Amino acid sequence: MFVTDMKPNPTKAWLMALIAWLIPGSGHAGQGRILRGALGGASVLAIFLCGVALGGHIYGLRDTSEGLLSSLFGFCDLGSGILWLGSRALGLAVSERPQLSTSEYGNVFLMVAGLLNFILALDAFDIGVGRKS
Amino acid sequence: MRHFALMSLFALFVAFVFAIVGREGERKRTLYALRVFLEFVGVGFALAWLLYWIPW
Repeated sequence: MFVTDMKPNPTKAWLMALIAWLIPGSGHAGQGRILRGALGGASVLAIFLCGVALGGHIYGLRDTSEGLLSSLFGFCDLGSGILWLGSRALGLAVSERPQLSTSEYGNVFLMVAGLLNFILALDAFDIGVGRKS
Repeated sequence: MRHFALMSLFALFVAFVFAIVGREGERKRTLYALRVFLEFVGVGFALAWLLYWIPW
């Protein structure tokens, strides 16, 4: 499944971007950038776990708890890929915990984790099509 | 103190990712990560003191 040759290939680039979104860091690791992939994936995972520990919660794309912003927050959270999917499927960190003073920080951590993973996925795509080394 | 630790952690991880996508070459990435981290923490400090003195 993983690509080791460096020839630009749009199909594989899309596949790498999809895999990178699903599993943080795997897009880089799958194209031979092991250290970058490990560091990026670990960073996204760490921010995500910090967010959960701080009392943040995952928004769904169809949440309406905070109006239209909820969908935007849900899109940001969606960037975490399997972390978002797993949390939604298992019901972990999906409920608000306003009694914790850091819950809003937690929400921001979770959203930033997703956004950073989107950036990593786009970078993996760029590597796949040969725009970056 | 806990807020500062959280901000530093946040800055550290964001700096890692920014360095991965923002620069080419190990040396440039390392320097860029350091710069982004210090900028996050510095701006955080500056904003915290600014907001502390503004009476609202």
